[in-house]
Amino acid sequence: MDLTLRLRGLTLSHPVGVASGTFGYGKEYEPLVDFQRIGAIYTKAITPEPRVGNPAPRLVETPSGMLNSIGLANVGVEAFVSHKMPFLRSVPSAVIVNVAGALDSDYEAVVERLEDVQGVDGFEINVSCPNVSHGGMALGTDPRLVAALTRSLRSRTKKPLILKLSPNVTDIGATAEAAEAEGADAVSCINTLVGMVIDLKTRKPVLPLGTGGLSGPAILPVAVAAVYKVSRRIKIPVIGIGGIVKWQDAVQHLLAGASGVQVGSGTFANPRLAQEVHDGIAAWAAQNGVASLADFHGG
Amino acid sequence: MKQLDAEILENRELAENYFELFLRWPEGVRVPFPGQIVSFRVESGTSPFLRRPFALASFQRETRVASIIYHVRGPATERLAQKRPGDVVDTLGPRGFYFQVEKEHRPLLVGGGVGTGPVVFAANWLASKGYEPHLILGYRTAAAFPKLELGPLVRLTVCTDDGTRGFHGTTVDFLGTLPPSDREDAFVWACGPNAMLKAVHEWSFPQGIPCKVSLEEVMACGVGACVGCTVETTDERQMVRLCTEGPVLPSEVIRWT
Repeated sequence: MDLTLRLRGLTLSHPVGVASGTFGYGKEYEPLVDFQRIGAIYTKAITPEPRVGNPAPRLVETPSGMLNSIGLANVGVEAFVSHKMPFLRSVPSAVIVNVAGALDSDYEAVVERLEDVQGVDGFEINVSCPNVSHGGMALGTDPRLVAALTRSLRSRTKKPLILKLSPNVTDIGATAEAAEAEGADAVSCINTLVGMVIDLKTRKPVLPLGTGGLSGPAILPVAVAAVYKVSRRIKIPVIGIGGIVKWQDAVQHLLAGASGVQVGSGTFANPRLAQEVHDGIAAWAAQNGVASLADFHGG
Repeated sequence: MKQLDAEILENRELAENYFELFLRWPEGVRVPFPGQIVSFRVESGTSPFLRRPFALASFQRETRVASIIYHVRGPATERLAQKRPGDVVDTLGPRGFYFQVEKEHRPLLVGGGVGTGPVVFAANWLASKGYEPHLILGYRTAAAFPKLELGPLVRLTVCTDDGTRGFHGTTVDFLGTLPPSDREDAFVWACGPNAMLKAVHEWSFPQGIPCKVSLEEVMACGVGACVGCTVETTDERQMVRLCTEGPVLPSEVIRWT
């Protein structure tokens, strides 16, 4: 059985990663996980300059899920290279840097800075964050803007380039096609859904910015449907994200058309989720005569 | 910090809707200090989804038994209250910065409501080190005051909003009545609702009495990864994570709102 996932020159020994924003810079989970069984770490979104992020409260639990409004808080690309990469280089997992910004030039600056940094194995372009006023989701909901950004970044990197898609659109396939046409190596599908919780006492939204990004098991069927739709529109690999809290959820993503998966906020409840999902997928594949990732969906 | 299946030894009701949960603290897991937290995955299903952080309320070195004091106020704590001896709970901990002794020698420990646990832990711990802590606890009414086990050196003052027990007024009202001799060489450690902590800060800071507070925010990961449990600070950090740089912080670095 071969569960390797190939993206451009990069070979992931197995298809389970940990999603951006849910695993920090990797070191935070060091005491609790087995990196041998985590295929890829998708880092916290990195911007050119450090960002403090949004005011508190940033989190609220929802039925079978949570809303977050972190606001791309991160150390900035220079501190990432000097303070976070040494640890990330030391673990066996691939390191895919999630890149965010307000303008195309922000994304370009981060990719250029990291292109030759040892240990950076690829880029995941965050054009789908719902918690910032510029860039992020506004960019990711317009296929023409996604195409232009992908083209620009493709010319700046030889490493795998993954576009992370927003589900907050009418036709998610159109964004995926735009990314594929301009040379993306894969798409991640999906980022969080826009949501709101209102406090009856104050009669106002709990989150200071009003809305946040919904994640957790509540969004599993939405994510699986998105993977199913997108994988029928493009030929490059789809990496399924959304709602995975057990290995069976990940197998649903793979059967829907994904070639790899990321576990996200499920890690908060269960730090060992990624490795349990890895083991579960392997066992299911062995029991069901599935020889490769492509066999999950006949692709 | 480790992830462990901790065995529940006792789940005791201390007052109306207040419980103390006693856990076996396995060998090999670091000894916790007052102010540190653990997080529980109360249900293995998807609702409630997130872990819940709790500050420790005691730790017995000889028996390796730890406890938390919690208030039943939502689905997660309702389920926690149903746990019985022999049940196990998925626990992460110990975590966070704890209360550390000061150069001053007169501890004033101020707690209210769910903030009771860590200051009781601190009081007993300080008493074991030879301090004579003054523990000042505030509640809405006498029925909310939990039964506590306190060391002989701990001096207790109970405050109630309705005057049904002890001092009639808030803990901060009580602090205001302390004679200068009780404020001399004093330091404050406090845990409770934010409004109380802010008032404690505003009482201690102008007098030059060092004050550390233990804060609470919703946490998702509890390990520093999600950056969800932040509070604003007045120093160059601007924001800190309570699970990692806190939950105990000097009161003057917090941007009180």
